[in-house]
Amino acid sequence: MLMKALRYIRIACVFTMLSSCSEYLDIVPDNVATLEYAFRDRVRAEQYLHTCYSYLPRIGFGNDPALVGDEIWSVTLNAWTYPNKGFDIMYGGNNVTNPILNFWGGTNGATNLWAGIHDCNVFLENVSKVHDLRDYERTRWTAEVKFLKAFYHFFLFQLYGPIPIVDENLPVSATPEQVAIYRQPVDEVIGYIVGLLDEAAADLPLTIDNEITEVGRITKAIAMSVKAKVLITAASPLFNGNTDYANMVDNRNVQLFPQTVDQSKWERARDACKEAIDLCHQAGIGLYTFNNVSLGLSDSTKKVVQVSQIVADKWNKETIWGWESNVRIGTDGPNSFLTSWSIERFTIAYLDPSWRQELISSWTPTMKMVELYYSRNGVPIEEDVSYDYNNRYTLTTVPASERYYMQPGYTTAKLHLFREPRFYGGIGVDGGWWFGLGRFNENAQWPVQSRFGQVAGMGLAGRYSETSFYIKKLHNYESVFSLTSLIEKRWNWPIFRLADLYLLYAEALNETLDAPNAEVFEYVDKIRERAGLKGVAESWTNYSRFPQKYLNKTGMRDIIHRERSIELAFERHRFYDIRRWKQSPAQFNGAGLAWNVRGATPEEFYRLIPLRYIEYNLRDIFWPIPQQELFINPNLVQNPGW
Amino acid sequence: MKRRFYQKILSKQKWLFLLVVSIAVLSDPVAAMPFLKPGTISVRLRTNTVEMGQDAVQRMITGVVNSPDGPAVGVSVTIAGNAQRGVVTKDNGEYSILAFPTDSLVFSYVGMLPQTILVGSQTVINVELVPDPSALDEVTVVAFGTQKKESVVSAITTVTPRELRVPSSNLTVALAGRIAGLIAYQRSGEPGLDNADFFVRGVTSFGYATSPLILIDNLEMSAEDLARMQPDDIASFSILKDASATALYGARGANGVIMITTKEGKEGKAQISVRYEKSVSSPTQQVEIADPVTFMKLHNEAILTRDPLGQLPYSQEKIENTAAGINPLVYPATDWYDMLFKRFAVNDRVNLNISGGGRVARYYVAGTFNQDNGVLKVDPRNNFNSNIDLKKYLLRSNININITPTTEVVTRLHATFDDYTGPIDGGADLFNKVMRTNPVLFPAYYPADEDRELVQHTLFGNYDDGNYLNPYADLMRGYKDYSTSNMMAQFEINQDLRFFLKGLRMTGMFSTSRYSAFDVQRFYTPFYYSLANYDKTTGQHTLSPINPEDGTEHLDYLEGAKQVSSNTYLQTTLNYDRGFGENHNVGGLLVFYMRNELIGNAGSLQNSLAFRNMGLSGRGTYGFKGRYFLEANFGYNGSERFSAKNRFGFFPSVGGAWVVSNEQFWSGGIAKVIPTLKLRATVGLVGNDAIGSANERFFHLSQVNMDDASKAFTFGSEFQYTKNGISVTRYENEDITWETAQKTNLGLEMKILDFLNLNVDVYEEHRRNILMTRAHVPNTLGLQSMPMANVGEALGRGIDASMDIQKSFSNGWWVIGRANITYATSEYRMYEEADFRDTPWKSRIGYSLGQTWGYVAERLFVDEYEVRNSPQQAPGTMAGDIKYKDINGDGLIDELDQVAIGFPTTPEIIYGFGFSTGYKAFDLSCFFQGLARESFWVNPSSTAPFVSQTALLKVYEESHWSESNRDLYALWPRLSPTLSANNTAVSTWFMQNGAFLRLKTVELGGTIPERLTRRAGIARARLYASGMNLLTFSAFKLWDPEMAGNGLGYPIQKVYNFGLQITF
Repeated sequence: MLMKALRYIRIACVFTMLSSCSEYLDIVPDNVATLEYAFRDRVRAEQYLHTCYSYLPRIGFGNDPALVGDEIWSVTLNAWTYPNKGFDIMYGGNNVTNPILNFWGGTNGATNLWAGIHDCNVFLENVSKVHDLRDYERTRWTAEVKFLKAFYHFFLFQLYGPIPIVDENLPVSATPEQVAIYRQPVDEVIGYIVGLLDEAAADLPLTIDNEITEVGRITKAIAMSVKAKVLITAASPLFNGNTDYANMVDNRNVQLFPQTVDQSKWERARDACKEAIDLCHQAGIGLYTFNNVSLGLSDSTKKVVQVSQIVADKWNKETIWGWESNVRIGTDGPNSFLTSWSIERFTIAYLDPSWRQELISSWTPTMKMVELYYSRNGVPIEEDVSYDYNNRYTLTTVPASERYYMQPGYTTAKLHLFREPRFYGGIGVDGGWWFGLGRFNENAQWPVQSRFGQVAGMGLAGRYSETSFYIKKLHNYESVFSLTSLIEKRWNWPIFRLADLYLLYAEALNETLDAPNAEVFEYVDKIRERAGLKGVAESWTNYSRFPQKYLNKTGMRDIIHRERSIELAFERHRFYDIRRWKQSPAQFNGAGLAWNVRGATPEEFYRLIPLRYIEYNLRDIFWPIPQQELFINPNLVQNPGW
Repeated sequence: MKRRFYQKILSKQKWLFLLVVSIAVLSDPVAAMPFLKPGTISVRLRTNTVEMGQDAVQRMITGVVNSPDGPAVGVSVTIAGNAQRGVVTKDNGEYSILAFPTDSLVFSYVGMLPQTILVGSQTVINVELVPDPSALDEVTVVAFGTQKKESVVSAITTVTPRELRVPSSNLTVALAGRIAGLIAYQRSGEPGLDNADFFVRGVTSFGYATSPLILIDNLEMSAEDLARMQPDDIASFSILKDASATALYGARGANGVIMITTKEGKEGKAQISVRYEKSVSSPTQQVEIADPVTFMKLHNEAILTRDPLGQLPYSQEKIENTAAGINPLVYPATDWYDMLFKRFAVNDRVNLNISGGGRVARYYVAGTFNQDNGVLKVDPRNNFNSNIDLKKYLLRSNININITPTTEVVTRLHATFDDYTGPIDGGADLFNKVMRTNPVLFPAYYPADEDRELVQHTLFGNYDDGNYLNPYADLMRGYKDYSTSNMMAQFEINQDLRFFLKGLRMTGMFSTSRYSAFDVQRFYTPFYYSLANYDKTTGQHTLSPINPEDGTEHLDYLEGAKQVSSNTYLQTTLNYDRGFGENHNVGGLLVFYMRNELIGNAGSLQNSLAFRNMGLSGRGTYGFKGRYFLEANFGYNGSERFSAKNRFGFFPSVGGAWVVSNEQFWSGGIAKVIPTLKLRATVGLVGNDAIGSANERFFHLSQVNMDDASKAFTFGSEFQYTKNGISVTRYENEDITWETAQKTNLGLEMKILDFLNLNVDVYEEHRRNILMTRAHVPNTLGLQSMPMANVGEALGRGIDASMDIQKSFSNGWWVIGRANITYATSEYRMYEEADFRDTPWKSRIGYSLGQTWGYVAERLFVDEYEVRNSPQQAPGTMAGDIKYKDINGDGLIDELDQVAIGFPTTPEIIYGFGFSTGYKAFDLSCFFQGLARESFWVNPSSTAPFVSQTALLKVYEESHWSESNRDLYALWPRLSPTLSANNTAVSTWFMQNGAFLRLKTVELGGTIPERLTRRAGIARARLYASGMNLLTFSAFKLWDPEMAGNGLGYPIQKVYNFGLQITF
């Protein structure tokens, strides 16, 4: 009986199970998220808008290619591994197998810009499907994403030279032939980027209404300023008739670099700069001046503190485009060290022996930057007739008259004295002051003392500047140290500010003229005046060994170049400027010099010693396209030297 | 089914035995007492000798017959040449028989080697039976059942569970070299993490799943479960290698199957067996590092040799004072290895099993307790023990109940539990850290100075900002506990349907298991101190706290991930097996199964969905006259991973065998020399649904992260308006389908001269549809995840062979020898890669799946002139750096110059050989194991001295390029304080031959004379001493070669073991 029952039950089992086979294995429920869900409503679409922004290279932070060059020295002798990938390129060179800061593939500290462009295209393809997005929002968001798409192309262009243009996404299942796209010639890339920027600018708002939630989003002023930068870049010698790259011809026989200089490119750039400046003024953007009356500071100190406040007074009126992320912690990777806090940790000097834990102080100015700043008379120290240039490395005692800049009675090198206010605001030198960080009385500032055994100097333990100099420019004076932790007064990194645009305009204008006119001087002098210096004409005439220099085009070009390097020092502009001026191997090659940080006495300390020889070859100008990419796409031409 | 076969034979003898006992009890109740009280028996038996004259007189010969598992019941004892006068041994293995001194007694038992012993003047003859390796598998375990050995057409290797007994609590350690067809090697010796890697016939797929399917009592289990199996509990251990053997497991059988059945109770009185082992384990080899003074000198040299202006980390004064041993707190020279590690650990293993039963129910109950300790030092400074202490508990209960004469119910309960205490970092990490710790920067800890007499915490040493490694602090700062449990319950009904159709049987099986694991860490944050204000003249110094805010004296607590999962399995089989007349044998099998696995902490929606398989599989067999055998199998299997159109796969196979030696013509001389000869051949298809990765399923759906923090962006004047972005982690592809393996196998089995068995299999396996990332997707396409497709193909080929010899001699001496070898190769057949037409050496096609590509190192550069005039290498290359060969001759050493170098990283050859021999109460066995055709690389990045404070290996100290000793073939190139991109590239320079041969196990055992043990109620007691990994022969001297590239991890252990096995 039992057996019979068992038998039938089992046979029945087998057959019922077989019939329900397909259901048993079909276990995926409905509504599993797919890409379609990203464009179903406004909330999700806004997330996608943030996604498009998220590919923005970490401008200003540890993984910015532009932080390298010859402005900043960073060698970490101990085992610290911070994302200073750019420095690895500077000191060790790049490679094709696994390139450092590989923006082409999004590895080794870089964001993946091609993926960013892909996502922008996805957004543009799908934004029309979002049912609850209001029209004006749709228009604005579309314009923002078009801007980002253009900017990502431009960023790649700056690093790699002529690049492919990806205006529309290829399908995931594209064949090997379809994906083998070509690098486009310089002029076509520039034309494409400028076209896209114009399209975007038309639909962008002039100003941000809701600052609490929207500051940092793209405005018309940003789009026009970037356009000016793009056109200046295209007009500059690196891209305008550069015969060094005559051999860059692809397998279709297309010449990637234009081989003749086209002067009209400067005219386009000039007009774009002017247009951008006017638009900025219209949007209420102007030069920033630091004037906090409650602190009761002398004019000298104000001019000094102003230098860092231009950068670190958040969203100040000079900012055209700024950004900062919310991510404060992180390990090595593209997302780490994104706040002003991180930058301050990299740059602030040890000023109190009890500060131990958090400062890294590894980004330090080079001797070259120390010498680059003008004298108090507003001309290069090597040109200043009243400046004892030849004896600049000899010792002297700080006179009482210099008390707002240096510690009176302190023995230091002549090089540190009688410099322009921007020098003292930008660089902390042995014997100088450090305003803020809890000390707001200008007569009781933090003394910077960086000889061996001193607080900011090399000691038994702790970190110190290899060059003995510190960057003062990248911090807000209101940040403080509490016990051993740094409490930052947050600020945004200025990607673009008005002074930059003024100087670009002066540069472009000068290039289009046979000799500089009053308008050229006007825009340079606006910057100089704000910095506490006399105008170009007055300064050069009275103090320069070459009093006529500013009157001719070449001389004025030099003056504008130097003004840019000083005004925008440590703000990631010099790296691109030097490249586009076609000066990079000349400028970047050489030994890094520094004071002898192992010296305890002034005599020992103020000796110049070489840190390391930097080898920067022609091939380093344009970055290597990853080797793997060339294996896959034989139509790509590798950059020369790789 | 194997059990049944025995019982068939047994049952006859049982009846005979019962008859004898009944007669004995009736005739002489006193004499029958011993059956109830075994302790008195030997006394009685010895007085029972019948003395009637000399030679011509028969005497009563008595004795006990033992098998390796204890007293052997039912052994037939006969007089040679007179089979009628036989007896069988009783419950406790005793027998008594009348014999003339000229007679020889023959002891025979199924599965054991028969033994013949001349009576002579002996009156007590005790016999130790030795398993007969060839006879043991007269019945072979196959998929979902058993088959007679002679009818098996597929490639199946069976190993005697006894052979898997090694002095380790990890079964996988025993696998290497024991089983033809299995590639196995062990890379770490850390308790709990010492599983060997094993592959059936090597690795033939470059998908993620390459490990075999493990079935314990038909239930899919993990490698961990296999590692915990006790050889004592195993009834059979087989690996199924070819398509015919594995087609029934179509969905998951492509990588081969390891199949284990556990023991079941036998009718009879309770048999209790206890085994206790205590062993001492220590690293087989310790990595030697240079002394601290040399370390400093060479570190200075490393800096100067790269940069003459470089800053030296150690002053001459420090070096001299350290060498002189002045003030070890100021000039520390810490032997971190010695601070952290002991020379040996002591481990215990206890195993108990009880089996028996009556006609209605039979039971097998086993319990195991293993304790493995690590070699970490425990310091009395803490009251907690942070040495590794891993306790494993196992419980197994198999109950068989006959409900009716044709219905059997089986329940199996099995549970394993682990309790672990150990360091927070784990053992391997500490070994690694010791290698990366500077010996001279600070001592492990400072004694309390005057200012800190009242401080309760340990003053750990550190440097600078306290971010240097202090492995001693890492060991001391806390401990981690983890517990895991795995419980399995299985219910089975076997129904004989002979009333319905003769030879038809049906089985239903349901089983479920639950796994859970959690861990907890308790720790404090160490206070670090550095030395400050050292006054050279007075020798005074003070300590400066490095992290007074961060350090804690109180314990903190951290909960680790909790893992829970469940598995259910349902299976019904219909089995038909019947002989028609003398000549025809027909068999059939239908299996239906369903499997469901759920993970409680899957981490994503898609992974939280059940993992499922279902399938219908079948087999048909036909045998003719014991000469010709045919078999066909199929698996129609489904997996939840695929789109509806690919959800099911069909996997057929066919095979045949010809027993040549059963042919009429096979007679006379040839039949004497080769009594058995059999040829086999199979071909078929098997599938694998475990493609992509464990977590990648549902390729037909795109996968989107709707809340991706890595794609967040922030706006707003106060930096507060942040939204997470959206990212695509997979693009949809409906066409992704099964990976398949087409397997062909040719086999030969022969027996030569009655004592030598030879088994050879040759195979070829063609893997198709291997899922791989498409190669032609450039970055410019901008995809966030690489699309994949079933485009890969690979080929595996090889031979596995085994041989055994057994012989026993009339004086009771016996010897068994065995050897096996597995040779498994693989090659890429189809691999999507970039266009390598111009540089064909870069293509993987034709190379082994384990092949490495790298530069060909010629030698070290002679001088700067040579560097300048050679093909351009990495920037900063100097004399004494490695010079690479410019393969394509373009004057540049780059990726294009990388060629296939060395052997595969998975060994292609695994072999083992050994012997066992015994004489009377003593036995000795010895087993050698080795592997060959394997390359590994000493990692130049992790062994680079001075980089990140890495210690200096002694071998590098002895052989490195220096300006004063420009050895162009030195082991280590020019020293460097930083990683040299040039020297750390994968190249032939650091390539090593992984081949080795080792004395894997030795065991010497002796049975204590039963006259001593009887009194204690012990039927048999065997004492043994064994050792594992005692000797290793290899060209590589730095560390144990089996660890390959993992040499700086937790070392493989050498074990000395003492054991006692008692059977009641």
